[in-house]
Amino acid sequence: MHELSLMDDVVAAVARELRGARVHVVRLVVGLRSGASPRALRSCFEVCAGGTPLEGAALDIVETDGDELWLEEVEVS
Amino acid sequence: MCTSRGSGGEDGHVLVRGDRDDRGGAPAPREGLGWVREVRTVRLERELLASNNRVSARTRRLLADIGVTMVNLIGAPGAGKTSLLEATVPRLRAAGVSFAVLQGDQTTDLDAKRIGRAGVRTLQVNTGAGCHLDAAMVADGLSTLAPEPGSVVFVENVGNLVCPALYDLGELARVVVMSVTEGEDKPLKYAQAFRAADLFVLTKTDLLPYVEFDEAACVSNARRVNARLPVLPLSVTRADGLDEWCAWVERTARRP
Ligand SMILES: Nc1nc2c(ncn2[C@@H]2O[C@H](COP(=O)(O)OP(=O)(O)OP(=O)(O)O)[C@@H](O)[C@H]2O)c(=O)[nH]1
Ligand SMILES: [Mg+2]
Repeated sequence: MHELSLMDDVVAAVARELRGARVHVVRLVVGLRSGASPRALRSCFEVCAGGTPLEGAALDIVETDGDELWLEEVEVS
Repeated sequence: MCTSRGSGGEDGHVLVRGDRDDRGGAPAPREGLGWVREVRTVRLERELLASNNRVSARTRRLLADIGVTMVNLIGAPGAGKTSLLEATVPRLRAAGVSFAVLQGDQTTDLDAKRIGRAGVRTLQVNTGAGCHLDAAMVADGLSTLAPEPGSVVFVENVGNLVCPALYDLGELARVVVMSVTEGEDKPLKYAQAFRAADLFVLTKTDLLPYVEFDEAACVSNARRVNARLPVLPLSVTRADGLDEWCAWVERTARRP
């Protein structure tokens, strides 16, 4: 399950860069040809976010038909 | 890349969303909610694989410094990766090329033992439940393996045509290994693996008489995802194409 390690990285990166902020939404861009499955990413998110500042945040995946695999933006307060 | 969505600030980095009042001042608290903390959108715009790719970039630099050529072999379970390496051993040895093998496998060391029996320095990297090698595992493995300057390191990735394709390991060249029994449509179905490859090894050509496999269609499918991908058909059992394969390895190793 490479989605699990991808998601671990996302959570770690967001927590590091937005220390102290409350994270509401994490937005990814995932292409159909990226080799990662949005469905698997969604199911990994909750597990990876648990116990981190991202716990309770929503994961929004913008699906494209390209090969993007991006951490696009986060909504924080 | 995508431009900003949802809000529309101009500074390109921190965008502020919130209900602004008509005079364009600070966000006004929404009725009934009391004080509302302002929600900001922070654009990060980075690859999901950024941390892997930092490690692989470092590996690539370190290997280049000591003139080591690392080749990453990717292919489905049973495609013939280990068999190809076993057949490569005596040939490269005769050609005076020194090399080592890093074996990625989920839990066993069967492949490492096979290669070890052929008399090559081998290191097993178990990925556990992981379906691929990542750059950190390979960097660790390389520090144990300590390849000789000027040598070749083959990495046999976990048998899988999907996940390993996403992970740059710091290799100089990537080879996708597919056998004729897998079907000519696979380059389209597993496009990522073929798109990122520098060579397509089409194995088990000795079985062509027994399977329905359209080699020309397979090559054209591969070129649809990677227009200049060289294709090398070979059979390990018949020792066909192995000299061409070894010549490719030697050419790649000489590449500046
Ligand atoms: N007929 C034929 N069989 C081959 C050839 N190359 C490999 N095989 C057979 O294919 C089977 C799988 O080969 P391996 O080399 O173990 O495949 P692999 O890609 O290393 O497999 P994993 O490491 O498990 O992913 C073995 O039974 C080999 O003998 C070939 O050129 N022709
Ligand atoms: Mg093998």
